This record gives sequence, structure tokens and C-alpha cells, in this order.
Amino acid sequence: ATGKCSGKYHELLLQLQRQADLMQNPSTLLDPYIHLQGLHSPILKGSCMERLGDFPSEDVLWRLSRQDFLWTLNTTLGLFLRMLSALQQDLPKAAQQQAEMNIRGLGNNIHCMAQLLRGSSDPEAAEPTRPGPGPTPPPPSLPMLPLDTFKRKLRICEFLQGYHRFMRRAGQVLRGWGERQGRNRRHSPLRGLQRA
Amino acid sequence: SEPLPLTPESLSVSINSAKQCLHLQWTVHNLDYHQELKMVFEIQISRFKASDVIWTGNYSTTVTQNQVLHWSWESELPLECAIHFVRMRTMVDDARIPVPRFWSNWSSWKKADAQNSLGDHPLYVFPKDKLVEEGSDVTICYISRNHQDNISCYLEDVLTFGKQLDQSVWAFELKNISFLRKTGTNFYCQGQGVPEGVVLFVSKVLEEPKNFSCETRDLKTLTCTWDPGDDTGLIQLPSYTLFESFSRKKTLCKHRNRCDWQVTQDSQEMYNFTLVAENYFRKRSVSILFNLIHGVHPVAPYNLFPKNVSATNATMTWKVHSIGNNSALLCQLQLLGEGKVIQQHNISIRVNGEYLLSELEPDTEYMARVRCAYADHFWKWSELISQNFTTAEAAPSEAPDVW
Amino acid sequence: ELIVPCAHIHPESSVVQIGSNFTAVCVLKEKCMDDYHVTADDIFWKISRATVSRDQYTVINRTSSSVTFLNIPLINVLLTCNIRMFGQINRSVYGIRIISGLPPEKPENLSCIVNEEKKMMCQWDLGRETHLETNYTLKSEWATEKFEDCKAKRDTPTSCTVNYPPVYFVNIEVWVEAENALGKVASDHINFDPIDKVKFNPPHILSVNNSKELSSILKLTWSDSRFRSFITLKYDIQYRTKDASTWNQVPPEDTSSTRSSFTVQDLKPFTEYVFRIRCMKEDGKGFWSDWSEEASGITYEDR
Repeated sequence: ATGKCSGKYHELLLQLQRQADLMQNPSTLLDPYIHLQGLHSPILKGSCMERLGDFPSEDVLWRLSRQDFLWTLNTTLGLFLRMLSALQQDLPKAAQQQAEMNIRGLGNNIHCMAQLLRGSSDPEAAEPTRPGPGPTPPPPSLPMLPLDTFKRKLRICEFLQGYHRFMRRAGQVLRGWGERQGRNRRHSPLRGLQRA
Repeated sequence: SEPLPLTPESLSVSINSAKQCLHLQWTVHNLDYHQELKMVFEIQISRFKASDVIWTGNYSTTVTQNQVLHWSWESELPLECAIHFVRMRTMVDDARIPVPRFWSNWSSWKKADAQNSLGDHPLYVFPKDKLVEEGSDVTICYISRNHQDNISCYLEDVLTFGKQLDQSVWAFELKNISFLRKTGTNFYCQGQGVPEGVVLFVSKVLEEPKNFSCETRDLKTLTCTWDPGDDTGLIQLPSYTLFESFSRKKTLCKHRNRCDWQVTQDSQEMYNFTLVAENYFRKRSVSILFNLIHGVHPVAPYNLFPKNVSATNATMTWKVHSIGNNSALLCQLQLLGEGKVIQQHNISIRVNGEYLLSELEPDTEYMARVRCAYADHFWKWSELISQNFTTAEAAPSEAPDVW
Repeated sequence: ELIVPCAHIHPESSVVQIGSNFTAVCVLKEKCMDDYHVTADDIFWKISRATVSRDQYTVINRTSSSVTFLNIPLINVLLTCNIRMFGQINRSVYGIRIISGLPPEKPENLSCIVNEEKKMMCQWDLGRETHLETNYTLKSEWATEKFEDCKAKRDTPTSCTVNYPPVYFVNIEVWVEAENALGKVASDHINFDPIDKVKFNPPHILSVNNSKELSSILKLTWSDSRFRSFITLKYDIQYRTKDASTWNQVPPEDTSSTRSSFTVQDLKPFTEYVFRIRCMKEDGKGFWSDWSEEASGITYEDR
């Protein structure tokens, strides 16, 4: 790493939440793609739904410990980043570059949060955000893109939709961290870590 | 005895889906070995049912014994959307054979069924990823496995109505298709499930190159330039090739608006250039007859310096890039004072230029400018280069006052 | 004209600090000394066209003469080593350029701004004039990534616009490095979230509507930044009657959160009012947007 990470848990968590809010917004990537490819008719837009298995489900995310959640978030978006560069021909350039930067920025905050959690003695860091046994997240994989251009257009649409939905789910889990933190504020072990 | 009837044999039909063509291949038996006969073949094509003949045509050619004959037929309807049947018969069409002449029997119907390779998906739309030229007509079709499905089809977001060809096949004739975007025009049909569709890659009509002209700056390389017109809107760009008919040489141009041509040592002076623009649909060409000597546009001179500047004179020197074997250049030297041209001189040189500017004002700022052209045949001035200079102060006319 | 160099000056062309001392040594080559029958005694120094006074230079040995200049002023001159041949012919045998200046001062007041939909631009104060070619480089990095250096243009040395799109909610560390021939110095580092440096595009007033029921009100609606979905904004709304020159201000506390309409009250009936609006981040971090284009509306007649 080069520069300094923010040592303030709440500030970093707020940034992660806001990043998720920003990145779940379809106007940042999906909408420009739909416009470029001419998929804006109600029927085509309506068929542009996330496909199960493209991204970890909400249930999986809730059941991960914070470290595992950060790892899953980072790994999934790392794969998505590879897909983005493979789809350069299909995506509007500005939106693709901004999405790539946003993902790298999120990676930066994930690194800082993971560093913060490693440094903390908070038992909750190892616990899942929502108790209960949960399926270990399937290793994320890149979708096979069909050769037929029309099917390819729709398949990429589904995949980008999945990215935004995944970021919304991640945002909800991150807010879950915030709320739990709120409930246990009195004895938050992280308090000692927050430098002025 | 009666000559054996000549009949088309071993007729086979194959499907070229990318080009939407039926490809026929056959031979003619009972020809003598040495024999070469002019024959005409009548071909019939049916769709859905053998009895529904949709196309009949003749194909004439000269045939020899056991020669494999080929012929293709482009279908306006995507071949995947219908079973096609082909048969043919033949007749000798050779003056050496006395009349009357008789048609042979029809061959048996040969079936071309692209549908048997389709899966069991409820809905298919064809043709996939078709390249079309703006303004042309296109036929799109769908095959629906579930006949009771209510299917609607759209060109982009406009509901489009088609014609039922068969129980499960509908066709849509899109007239005068227009260019919409580089990523293609979407046509899709919505049944029960996810919409199925195709992307039409519409190319604008390739324009004829305009303002095609050539020039040389050094008699070593020719540069031809042109206005290619509008981009055709496809990812694959048209190719531009330069042909020269006297030398029978050609070169594939790296740019869409200019091309370099190496002048060979054999001092060819006249060039008959033809520029050919080509894409998937069209070829456009323009030609010019070009005399090398008439198209010399010299590179700008350089190192314009004032040498030996006095109060009223200045000798300007400059250098030029040699052309050919130090061919003569006509240089125009201008003297500007306060932005206005006050002197202009034409000087013929070969390597270095030198000119004495006189009748100047002492202690005055001037600008000298020079450009050159090919002396043997004036065509274009080179670019101008300039240099500021100030004349010296004049010596005092009387002796200085002594205090 | 420089004849084939038959001498050499150490050091080569130099940049020296104003106020410092400078010594140069001219060393004649043996061949040159033989050809022209000269020794170091025949050396004299010139600065541009002026001859250096004799007391400023000394003969070190048969081949070398050294010249020293004290408390160098601001200069950009040619120092030449010359020989007097045959007692009357002067020849310059070698020359170096001496430029004086100052090392860069620590750049101060580094600040950055992110105009909406544009890339981040940072600016700073240079400090004193260095009189030398000085390069200013904006450095930026995250905890996990270094970004490409942003080199300030020669004609705008006090600012630089980075070439990557802004990424909000990720703290970035930024500083400036100034470097010339006499030294290199870095500004203080600043660490911030670009979201706190945004200057939004001005809102666009969509409508100004009066009310039949209430002749003293006009309702404004506007569209503003796409950031509104994840950032709380606050607004400044100003209005004046058509002919007035001074603006009235809607109390800021009334417009201190994200909204897209506002009803201005206590207006005179049947009067034309002109409105303008600007926005910024609710917590006051960042910059006010420019004012929107003005829009006007007329209150309803009094009953």
C-alpha cells in the first residue's frame, strides 16, 4: 500500500455505504449501455433482469463474517473488472472508465476496512452479519457470452443489471454493519481505534 | 440407336447460412468423353412444400463429361425459416445438335432443411447478425414451436406486422432500412419467455471519393488525397486501394483519406491513378491522369537569415530541400515593413538562396519572407517562412559636438 | 567564431544560486598552446561582450586560469575563455552559459476542486520567483494505488487537472512537488474525499407557478445534479421584482436539505418576480454551484 488509510471506522463504513449507493445506480453503467445498444424499449428493458448465479445472493452476503464479506466483495468485483475490460467494444467508453475507477476505489476502501478489522479485537468482526449457517459463496465466475449479437446484447445487459443489484445488496449489508454497530455502541471495541 | 438422354445427376444442395444462399452441385452423365456441349438447365425452387414453387430460372453453361457444376441462389427469406426443395432438368442448347431438342426428365426434389439443426427452443428469429446496406429491404422471420403463443415483433420499439408463411413461420419485410447506430438495429419478437431477436448491421452507402488529387513534395514520394465522405457507420471500415495502370502496380492505403506512392527510378512522368473504395456491398472508383512534374509542391525553405546587415542594405540567405537532381526552384522573397509588403523579388535558385535587399531605412525593423515553387512547372507555392531583422543605425552625418 | 575548441571550461554550463560564488577554470590543450604559442598567461575572460577585470582571475599553472565571481546576481550570460595570440589577435576558445536563480520554495495553499462531470483540478501558490525553468508536478494516490503524475503546463504552473475520472468516497492524498536545477521541494500533503470538493452544475429552474388561491406566492421547481440520489444538498434561493437591482434571500434554513421545489411567500400580488438558485453539499463541504439561469413568474391578481 502507499498512502494512509483512514483509521476512522465510521467514516470508512459511511464511505463504503455511499460507494455502494453510487455504484448500484444504473445511470452509472447500465443505462449508458442500454442507450448505446438500443435496448431502451420497454420489452427489452423489461427482459434485462439479473441472472441468478452471476453475483452472490443477498442471503449469502448476510451470512458472511465481515472479513469474508469484504473478501467476497473484493473478489467478485475483481472478476467484474476483468469482464469490463473484455466488454470494451460493447460499452460506452466514459461509463466503462468511470465504473472501473469506482471499483478500484471500492477496492481501496475494502483494503482499508479489512486492515482496520484485522487490527481490531472485535469478536463481531469474525461473526456473520446475520447469524445462521449459510451456504459458502460459490466461486464467482465470468458468464459465457453467446456469439449471436442479439443474445450477447441481452446477456451483457443482464450481467450489468446484476452488478448494480449486487452493489445494492452489498450496500444493505454494509448498512447492517452500521445498525449493529449502533446497537452495541456502548461497548464497541472499535472505539479505541478511532483516532481524532 | 436413339442417343441416351442427358440428365443432371447426383444433384446435392447445401446451405450457406451466413450468405443466406442455397448452393447446388451436380454432374451430367452420358456425355462422350471428348464431347463439350452447351446446355441449359432449368432450376425450380419450392418452399415449405415441393408443390409450392417460388422460383424458376435457367442456367446455361458448357458441360464436359463428369464435370461437377456449381450454382448458387440467394434467398430473400432466411433459409432457416423454411424447408426448401430444388429440382432441375436440362436440355442441349448447342447449335451442333439438330433440333428438335427435348428437356430431360426432372431430377428428384432435393431437400434443404436448415431447421433440423435448430434446438427445441420455443422461438427462433433469423437471420442472425445480417449486414445490410441503408435503403435496402430485408426479410426477417421467426419460427414458433408453440403455435398458440401470441407473438409480437418490433423493429426497435415499433410494433411490426408480418405475414404468416406457414403454421409456425412468420416473415416481416422491412423496407428501405435506415442506419440507426454503429451497434446495430434491433428486431425482436416477444412470446412467452425472454424476447428473441436479431441485430441488423446497417451500413450507410459507401460514397464515391471526392476531390481526388495527387502531389509530390520531393519527386520521390507521391501523396494522393481525397474526401472519403461520410463514415459508413460499421465497425469494419471500407478499404482504399490505389491502382496505377501504366506500371500495373497497386498499393493498399493505410488511411481513409490519403495514400503514399513511391516514385520509381525509371523517371515515369505520367501516372494513370485509379482509387478504389470498397466495402462489403459496393466498389467506388475515381481516376485521374497525373503528370508528376505538374504536381510538385515543394517543402518550405529553411534557415532564412539576414547576413551583412548595414543601415540601408541586408543580404538575405536561405536554404531549400533539393528536388530531383537539384531542379531549379523559383523563390519569392518579400520584404515587409510595418506589416505591409514593400518589396518583392523572384529569384531562381537550385540549392542556396541569397539576395541583397537595398534602399532600406536605417535602424528600422523589417520582416523578410520567402517561399518557393517548382520552376519547371509552377503548381503551388511552398509554405512561407519569415525572419525579422533590424537595420543598423546610420553613421552621424556631421562631427560630434565637443564640450 | 569558435575555432576548434582548444580549451575546456570546468564546470560546463551551470545554474548557480543567486548570491552564491562561482569559480570556473579554463584549461588550454597542449596542441593549441603549441600552435598559437600561448600559455595560461595569455588567457582573458569575457562575460558576453564585456571583458572580466584581471583581478578576478588567476593563473593556476601553465595551462589553466581560474575566474571567480562573488555574490552572483540574477544573470543569464555567456562566460568565454579567450586567448590573445601574437600579442594582438583575440580568440575565444571556449564558452559556457551561466544562469542564476533560486531553488523552488515549498508550494503553499494547495487546494482541489471537482467540477461536476469534470476531472479534479488542484491549484497552489508557487512562492518566490525562481528565475529558472521549474517543474511543478501534482502527485496523487490512494492507500492502494498511485496515480499518474500531473505535470503543470509551462504557462500555467500553479494548477493541474488530473487525467482520471473522480472517484467519490475514497480518500485521496495529494501534494505538489516543485523541482528545478537548484533543488526539489514538496508541499504539505492534503488528504480528502473528493465528494467534499465538488462544485455541482447549477440547478435548472423548470417552472415558476402562481396560485389562484394565494396571490402572494410563487412555486419554483427545478432539476439538479444526479448526485442528489446519494448526497444531501442545500440551496440558496434569491428573488427580486423585475425592476429591482438587489436580491432578496430565502432563509437558508428553509432550503437546507435536498429538494426540487420551493414556494416563496409574502410576495406582492400581480407582480413579476425573477428567481435564481444555486446548490452545494448540505454539510458545507465543497463549493457553491454557479447561479442557475434566472427564471421569472408573475403572482396572481389580488381578489
